[in-house]
Amino acid sequence: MNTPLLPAPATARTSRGMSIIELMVGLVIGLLVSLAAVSSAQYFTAAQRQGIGVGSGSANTASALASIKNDVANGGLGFFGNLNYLCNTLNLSVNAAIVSNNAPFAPVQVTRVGNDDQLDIVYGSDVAAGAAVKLATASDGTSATLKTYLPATANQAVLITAPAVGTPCLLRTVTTTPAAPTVDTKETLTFAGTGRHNQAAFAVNLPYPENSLVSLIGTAQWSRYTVNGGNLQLTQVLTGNTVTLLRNVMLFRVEYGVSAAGTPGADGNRRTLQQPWQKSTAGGWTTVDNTNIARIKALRITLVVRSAQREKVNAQSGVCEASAAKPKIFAGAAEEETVEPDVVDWQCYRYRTQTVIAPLRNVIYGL
Amino acid sequence: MKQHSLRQQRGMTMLMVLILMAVMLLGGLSLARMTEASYLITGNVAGKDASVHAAEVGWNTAYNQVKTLVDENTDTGGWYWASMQPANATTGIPSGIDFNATPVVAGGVDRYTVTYAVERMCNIAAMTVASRECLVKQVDVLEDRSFDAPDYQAKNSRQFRITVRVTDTRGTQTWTQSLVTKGG
Repeated sequence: MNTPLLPAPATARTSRGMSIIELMVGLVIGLLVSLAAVSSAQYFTAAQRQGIGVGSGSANTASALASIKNDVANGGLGFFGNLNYLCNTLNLSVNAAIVSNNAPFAPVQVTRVGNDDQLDIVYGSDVAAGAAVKLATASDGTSATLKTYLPATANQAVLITAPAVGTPCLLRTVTTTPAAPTVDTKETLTFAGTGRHNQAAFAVNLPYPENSLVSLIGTAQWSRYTVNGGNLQLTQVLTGNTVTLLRNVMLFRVEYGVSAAGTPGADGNRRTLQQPWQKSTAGGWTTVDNTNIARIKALRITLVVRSAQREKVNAQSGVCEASAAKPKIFAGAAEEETVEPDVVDWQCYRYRTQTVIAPLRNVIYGL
Repeated sequence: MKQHSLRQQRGMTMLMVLILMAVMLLGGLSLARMTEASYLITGNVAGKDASVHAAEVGWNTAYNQVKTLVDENTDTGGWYWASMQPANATTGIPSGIDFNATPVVAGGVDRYTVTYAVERMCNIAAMTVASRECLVKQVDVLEDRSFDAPDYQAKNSRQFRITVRVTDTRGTQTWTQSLVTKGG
């Protein structure tokens, strides 16, 4: 005979649950464990946040330097005619606003502003800017008749460069897509007053003679990197837009990597970098023009940044131990320099220094 | 009644522990996310830098092809176009070329796939007068002083636009362009 299997009846002890004493003890132990866990979590979280903050600062610095390097790689495209640099001054306007009125100009320029450098990089967006064509007849800046074909279309910018130094280069906007030239007809670019770079009048507005150079810029780009209130900012000079690339910047320095002066020798001394790198305040390098730009082969860009979060003092020694010494750039080299932090308790912060070298391809191949 | 009160207290303990764990978990996750973002940024920057270097292999390969090109007036081998192709007005990348069909640098470059295309900077394929149909770089030479010498016969060299696309293993693309000169 089969006997059905039935669950064992619950005893009184198992159905009763915990006593109030057991529960209270459990709660107290749980509370103590929770407090310990919270304090540990706070400690480790703070340490982790500190580490991540410093790490993020380094990553952000690397990112900013990479962005600058990309910009520098394009620097000068469209400004080197046919193996010449003749734009020591520039006439440039955006709509009715004058950006440069026969002012000194170089497509790659470092200027000392306060204790930091300001870096200006100018270039065209169209790779065809690497080859310039010549004016067939003199131009007064309202049109340009060309000896040879230029693949320009409406709304693209062109740069007109006189055959010799002394006349400001002129940026103009093509307002009508020109008819393609033939054997019997030349190409003529028109710069109507409605064009983006055609609207302002300049103090010096000389006619550009025959054989002046015209290069297809496309869209002109003018990037300016400056430090403002501890922030590294990028300003697009031609649009006026400014963005912050990096915070807590203690120093922003840019130096020229230059070759030897004089004519190229058998050892290619015009292609070899000389030591030391030249600061923007060094003699002969405060201004970049046709006399020295061909010697600039690269830029060395250095950023020193401070961690955002102040670290706590050592509980035993009572002092901050995040940094034992003020940061230095190029330690041990002739260019060594100590950086002055922007905070009094500088020992409570960490500092990171990063340097990148950016070759100026368009200068190297263009001149 | 007593049992009901007991259950309430046990539930509160569980709730507190759950809330605490949830807060700690969220904090940990946010920190992990910040760390991950830093690594991603650093990786992207390094990847972009390496891909630009890889593009140089593409330029050199294309340049060597241009140097040995015999018939400049005919599109050749899926990599050469005798005239400029339609291009994106903003980026300058030729939209008339299918870069999935252009030649790939043999063996790749590290973890990158490099492909290239070359366009002669002419507005017509069957070019007859380079200076009127092509972008040329005029070299300063002594002028032809003969009577009524046409200025378009000045010494010049033709320009070729090389476009290189670099693709990494994740499919991220880097485009670069360069202008090279041939002839004179």
